[in-house]
Amino acid sequence: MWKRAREVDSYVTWRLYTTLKETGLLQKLQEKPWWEFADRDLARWVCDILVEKGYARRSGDVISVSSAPERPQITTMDAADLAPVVDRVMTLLPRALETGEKPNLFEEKAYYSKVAGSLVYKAIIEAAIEEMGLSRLSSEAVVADVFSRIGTSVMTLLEMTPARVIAVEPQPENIEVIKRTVRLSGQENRVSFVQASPEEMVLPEKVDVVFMANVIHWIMNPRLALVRARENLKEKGSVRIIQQVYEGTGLTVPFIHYFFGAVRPPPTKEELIRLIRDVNLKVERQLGSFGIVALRATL
Amino acid sequence: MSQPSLRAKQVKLNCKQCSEESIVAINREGLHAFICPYCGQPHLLLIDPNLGVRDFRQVSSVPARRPFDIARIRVKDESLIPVTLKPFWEMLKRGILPPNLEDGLAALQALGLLEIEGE
Ligand SMILES: [Zn+2]
Repeated sequence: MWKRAREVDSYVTWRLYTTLKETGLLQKLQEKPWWEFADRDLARWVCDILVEKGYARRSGDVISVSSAPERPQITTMDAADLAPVVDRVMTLLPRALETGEKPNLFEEKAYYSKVAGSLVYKAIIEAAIEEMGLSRLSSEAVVADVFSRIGTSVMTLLEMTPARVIAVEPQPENIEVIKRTVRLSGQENRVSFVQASPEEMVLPEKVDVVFMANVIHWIMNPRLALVRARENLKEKGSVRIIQQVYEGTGLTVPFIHYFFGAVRPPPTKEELIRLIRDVNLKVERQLGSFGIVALRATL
Repeated sequence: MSQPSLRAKQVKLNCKQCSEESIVAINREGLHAFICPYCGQPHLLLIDPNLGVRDFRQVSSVPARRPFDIARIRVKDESLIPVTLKPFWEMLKRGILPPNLEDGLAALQALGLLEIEGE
């Protein structure tokens, strides 16, 4: 998993650098502070990637570029598959930075399906399910998978746990994809659907686990989503969060998400924990490295 | 997938619903949709590299609309298939039609990944 994530990380960094260089934006980022760009979040994010990966230094609110990344070797299938998506994203970057127009490639369904259905993403979910011991749930247990997208998390939960799954997803087209994928696997009796945003979800029953894989940076009001998660928990239930955070590969891989409907950069680890405590959930266990955090929170 | 073949083969298909016979021209291997021109029953057929019919079955729907002819079903860009549907597509490529085939195709279509040749 780390090898794949690292390759995607290097590819995003290299592509970002070359795009900025070719469009003259690399020069502008060295002259004008990030907050003067039309999309400030994005400009700051771009600077942070270049600084964190060691290709630039910060000097006040501008950066000073010190070296250029080399074109990375791609050896894993998944990085090879994601490269065209990264290339597509980078064609939109200059306009987004300069005009502040929020790009949204969500309508380019096929690309979106790759972002939400990449091997890297599945590997992250598998590792989290494993680490969190969710495979030891009973077959009576119910897991609400919040913001299922095209069903990568639903399918992984079905594969690795005996639990029933409630898929919560706002887009009817995505629900159709998940329904079909679940039926293809012959497990339709283990899955039910709630069409709602994470902020509005009302589940048909209280659940043992609310599972939130990379939800926080995709939604308008993460705090409200956590309140809903809390409301829908059984007394002894738990919220399990896997979240890319603003460091390591969590800086680069979610950079792609921003072009497919994610509303902001991922939170830092500290911001994430504060957010959870703010809704009176107790953070019980947290693991994580290289830009990904997995944690359990309870009532 | 192979290059278009110059060979073409006439194949007789007997509709699984109304039993009427249709003759269609096949020149490529792979998955094809066929809609019976007599009763409108959709079918899927799998053609092997020797242009033999490997599998022919009725289904409730196909991602093609045009009757009288067969339409080849392919994926525009295999690298974009999500990890959840990759095993399914690999099976199809190996000439195996899984039981809930239609659901797999419908999922790929809903993701905008399917392309119907000849439509
Ligand atoms: Zn017929």
